Amino acid sequence: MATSIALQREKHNPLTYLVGLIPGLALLAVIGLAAKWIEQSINGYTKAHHIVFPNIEYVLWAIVIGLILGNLLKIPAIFQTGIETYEFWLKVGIVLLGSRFLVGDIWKLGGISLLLVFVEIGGSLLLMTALGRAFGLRPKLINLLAIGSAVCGVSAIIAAKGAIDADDEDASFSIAAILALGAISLLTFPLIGHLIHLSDHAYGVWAGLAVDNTAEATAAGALFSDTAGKIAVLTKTCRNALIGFVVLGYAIYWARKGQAAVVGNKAAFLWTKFPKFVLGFLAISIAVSLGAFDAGQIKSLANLSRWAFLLTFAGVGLRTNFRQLARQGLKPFAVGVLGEVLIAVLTLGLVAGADHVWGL
Amino acid sequence: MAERPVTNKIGLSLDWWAVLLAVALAALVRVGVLKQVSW
Repeated sequence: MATSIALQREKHNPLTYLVGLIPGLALLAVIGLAAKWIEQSINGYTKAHHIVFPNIEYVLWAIVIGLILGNLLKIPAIFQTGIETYEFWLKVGIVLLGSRFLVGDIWKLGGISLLLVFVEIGGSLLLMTALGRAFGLRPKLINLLAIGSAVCGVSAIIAAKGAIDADDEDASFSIAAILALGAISLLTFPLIGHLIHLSDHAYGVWAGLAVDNTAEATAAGALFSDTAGKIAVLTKTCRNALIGFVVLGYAIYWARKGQAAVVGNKAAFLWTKFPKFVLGFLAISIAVSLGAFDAGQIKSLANLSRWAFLLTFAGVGLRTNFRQLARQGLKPFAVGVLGEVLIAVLTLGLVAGADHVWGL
Repeated sequence: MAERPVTNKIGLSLDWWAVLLAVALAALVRVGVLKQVSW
């Protein structure tokens, strides 16, 4: 009891909290810098010795180093708080990435993406629900898996869990499935993209549509190319922006059945669930479009965004624990795998269609 | 990615803190305090 009170006090002391972030943040930075160094060293060596070798981006090295450390060693608790900030750096990186889009680009690409996102969300919800029923999963677990795969991974599941009053067990099942599939997509998506010769734009839209968690979608895009990473973030951001509507729909459904709290003010509900970093992304893009920054400054903003993503990718590797994922059970995972493969095929078809019509 | 329900004493969520930091960095670049950030 005394320990818990002491911990709570510590949690509420901002200075102690900030100091507590340092070890984990330092670990993220060391992993990120090591990844960058490995990429540059390999490139330098192969160039100097005239060896033809594909460029392996720092993104992959950061994730691999994180995976090795996180799965082979027991990371001491002192690092955990800092490691968890990877999601914060992801959001900072996305807002700063707004500097690489003029409002006109967002209007055009965002418009196409939004259209595809509507089809993807509808298709994914239907597909996961049908699969979940076929495998005899619990209804709320089916909903969580459907929301996680249709909209935006872990955060969507956390947002929906409260709104539909789902069990902790169902939420952790769904989160584990989505995380495991995210890790698999990091390895498979860039390979498939190169195999079928997708353009940077088409691949970016595909990764943004089909990879569930924002951090993994960003990484899967960046693993293909810098431009693909940028486009994947834009598409994923469109998907994220719609989370409130999907969760609201499920909340109303379960409230009508008397199995969740009634949603009072729907506009307030939507605003609470809306990812606010999207507004920051748009604000920076508008400022750049209005000429508030010169070319050198825009480059600096883009590089700051890269540094923020570097910390994110290190965190993605560190927090993916295969042993924990394996403990979560086979059935939801099987539904997740089947569903995600079908969604990947569906979205690839959508992207091919959009590429044909609009020339992505 | 929904906004995390985590708030602090000031009442700002993780999303808003991320926006604040990014905008502050952009302002530092704009006024020339942060010059030519390299990669």
